[in-house]
Formats: sequence, structure tokens, C-alpha cells
Amino acid sequence: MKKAYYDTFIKYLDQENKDKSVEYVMSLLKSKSITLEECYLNLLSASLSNFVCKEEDEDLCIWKEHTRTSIVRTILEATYPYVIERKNAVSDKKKSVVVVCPSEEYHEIGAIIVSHYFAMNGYESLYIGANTPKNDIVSAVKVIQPDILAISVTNYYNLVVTKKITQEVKQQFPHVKIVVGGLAFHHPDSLSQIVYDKHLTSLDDIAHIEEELQ
Amino acid sequence: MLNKDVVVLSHIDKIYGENTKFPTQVLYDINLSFEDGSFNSIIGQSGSGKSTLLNILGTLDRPSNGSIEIQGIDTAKMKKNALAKLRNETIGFIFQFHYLLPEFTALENVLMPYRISKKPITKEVMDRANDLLDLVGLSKVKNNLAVNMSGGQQQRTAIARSLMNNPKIILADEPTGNLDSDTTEQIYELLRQINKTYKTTFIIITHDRHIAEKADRIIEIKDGKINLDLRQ
Repeated sequence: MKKAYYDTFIKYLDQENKDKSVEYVMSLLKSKSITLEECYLNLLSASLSNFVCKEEDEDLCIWKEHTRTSIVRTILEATYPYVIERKNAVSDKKKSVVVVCPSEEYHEIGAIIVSHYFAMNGYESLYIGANTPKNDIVSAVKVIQPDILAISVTNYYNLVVTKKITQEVKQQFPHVKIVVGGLAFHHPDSLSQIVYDKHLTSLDDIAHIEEELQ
Repeated sequence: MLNKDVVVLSHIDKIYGENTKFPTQVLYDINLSFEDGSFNSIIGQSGSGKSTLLNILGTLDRPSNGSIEIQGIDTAKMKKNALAKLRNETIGFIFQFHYLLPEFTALENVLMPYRISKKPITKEVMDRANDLLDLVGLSKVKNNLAVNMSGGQQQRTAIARSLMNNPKIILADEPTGNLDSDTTEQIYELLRQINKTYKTTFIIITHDRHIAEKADRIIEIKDGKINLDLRQ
């Protein structure tokens, strides 16, 4: 992907220009100048992870970051027709996945992108939301009966409830594979204390996850 | 033990009523160490054993089994007076209820740990007490009786008092449990500032997730055992 695409996108984001940001990315997708993967990874994810707060702007950082996240979420939702197109093009339909963020976890962009990636790879993928209480996650697994439960956690405090969720799901639904990912798992000690089948470190892993989980 | 560890707990059990018909075990084989200058939170449901753990960490209670090393000193065989001296010079305590003496001023309360050590109150000591009251933002009300201060001011006085003997470790049991959310945030910022300025090790029991999630490490106690030990 051309670096100029990222630079232009960041310029619009820095101006908090929602219209231009959305129009620009959608035009790149429409003209096939970028792939959906490049859109998610090199534009949307990168724009959030590269957000830097200058010390002199400390008072402005929170709302600026939230505004950027809001624009990125709008673009993410607007790309869904392209996700459907990709999903329909997959000949061998794969399994089902529920993607969720646990209670008090409001960082959901990563989870939505993961949900879209699963769909692009032929999965029946359902994102059930940010800040979802433990019992509601267990109830969703009971009703939907997915093959995979993917849990996205950013704030490391939320690993406390994540441990409870994964224990309960494995106890009640041992056949459901649990995939975890997000910033909270970056410390190596975190993973060893949670029940899981796969730690997702790259979106590209999703293409091969079915074989890995067998 | 790593050189950087300021407190090390090894194989700690605590059983209440050991010699009675119905002994109750509240801690089971706890192994924990805390790095010098770290900021730690301990969480857990009521009755999980976290306050017992904090009391053992602070040498206010003795374990039934196991050992506690504080700055490399094994406390197991220390006599009561030696232990009290180590505690007074090494550990500062902050509780949910501030336990200030109501008939004394903020300044006099801050000086109390030093008075207990029975050393003379020199100009340097007085300057330190004044500096600490300045640090916690109470210079203007330092001569007010504790009873005439707000909840937030009383807790900040208790924090200044806990720092009087320049402790290496501060143990806090629900330090913001009695405070509104704005004051809680101010107290948290103050504790963090002390942690950064003096490299004081903090071990804080809290029910408040907004405090716990900002710590460098979260330890969850469940049924007297370590259920989770998470680091940022």
C-alpha cells in the first residue's frame, strides 16, 4: 500500500474531518487502490495505534482520541458490504464464531475488526458487543452454540473477569474453542493464568485458525 | 529472593483458632514478592483473606506457617519490640478509616510516628512534617484539629503521617473506601506522585477498579489463595 494513502488519511484525522476521512477511505476501497486487509491493518488499526499525545496537548488527548476512534468506527461499519462480498466468495463455508469484549471493556475496534476478518474468511461471525457481562456471554454461547468464542481484552484489569468467563465457558461447553487477543495479553504471565485454545497475535492467523484449533 | 524485592512472603498459611475445636484457615501457601518501588493492588471479595494478608505483610499479625522477609530481614524470630521498631521505621500504613487523633492538629498527627520513636522533634523533623503537609496540599489547614477537616483532608493527613518516617513500603487497606469519586482520583494521583518521588513501594487493597487498574500489578486473592497475579 502506498504510504501517501496513510499520510492523507492521517491528515484528515488530525483535522477531525469525519466526512473527508470516510470519503477518502471508501474511495480507495471502491477504486481497489487498497485491499480490505490493508484498509483494516494499515489504515484503521495503524491510525489508532500510532496516535500520539504530545505532553503540551494533554488536556486535548482524550477527546481527540475518542473522536478518532469514532471516525474509524464509522469507516469500519461502512466497509461491511465489502466483507459480505468477500464472505460470499469463499467456497468452503467455515464454522461459526462469536466475538465479544467482557464487562467494562469499551475498546471494541479490535474486536470488530477481528469479527470482520473471520467473516472475510468464510465464518459465520457475530460480534455481540463491548462491555458484555459474564452471564450474557455464557448465555450467548448457549443460544448461538458457536464453534469459537473470541474474546478481546485491552485493559488488563478485565483479565479478572475474563478468567471467570473462560473457566465457565470451558466447563459448560468444553467443545467451544476459546480465542483470546488484545493488549491485555501482552505480558507473558497473563496467558498462563487464563484458559484458552489460541492466542491471536496477528489478524493473518485467522486464515489458518481452523486447522490450528483442530 | 531478587535483590530488588523489598518484601518476600514464603509459604504463608494463616489459621485462626488453631488450638480450638473449629480452626479456620484463611490463607493457604501464599508465595509473593514485591519489587522495590513498585505500585501493587490486591483485590478480592470480602472474606477472601486479603486484609489478613496485608496484616501479615505489615507484621501486625504473624502467620501460622511460612516466613516474611522485609528488606532481607527474616521477621520470624524477631522479638516483639524489635519487630515494632522495624515496622515503625520501614512501613507506613493507610487505612480506610484514618485513625487520626481528633484532639490533635493535622501537623501534630503527622508528627505522631516520630514522637512514638521518642526522638526529639528537631527543626529538620518539623520541616519534614511541613513539607509532607505541603505535598498533600494541606499547608493552609495544618493547624486545624483533625475533627474539623473534611474526609478527603483527613485521609490526606493520614497519608502524610504514613510518610513521616520515610518508609520503604506503604500498606494501604481501602484508602479511598470512604471517599467520593473525585476525591478518590485526587488521592490516587497523590499516592502515585509519592511512589514516583520517593520510590516508595505501595501495596494497596482496594475494591475500586479505577485504583486497581492503574497499578503496575494486580493480585487477586480468592478463598485464601492467589487466583491471579497480573502485570501491565
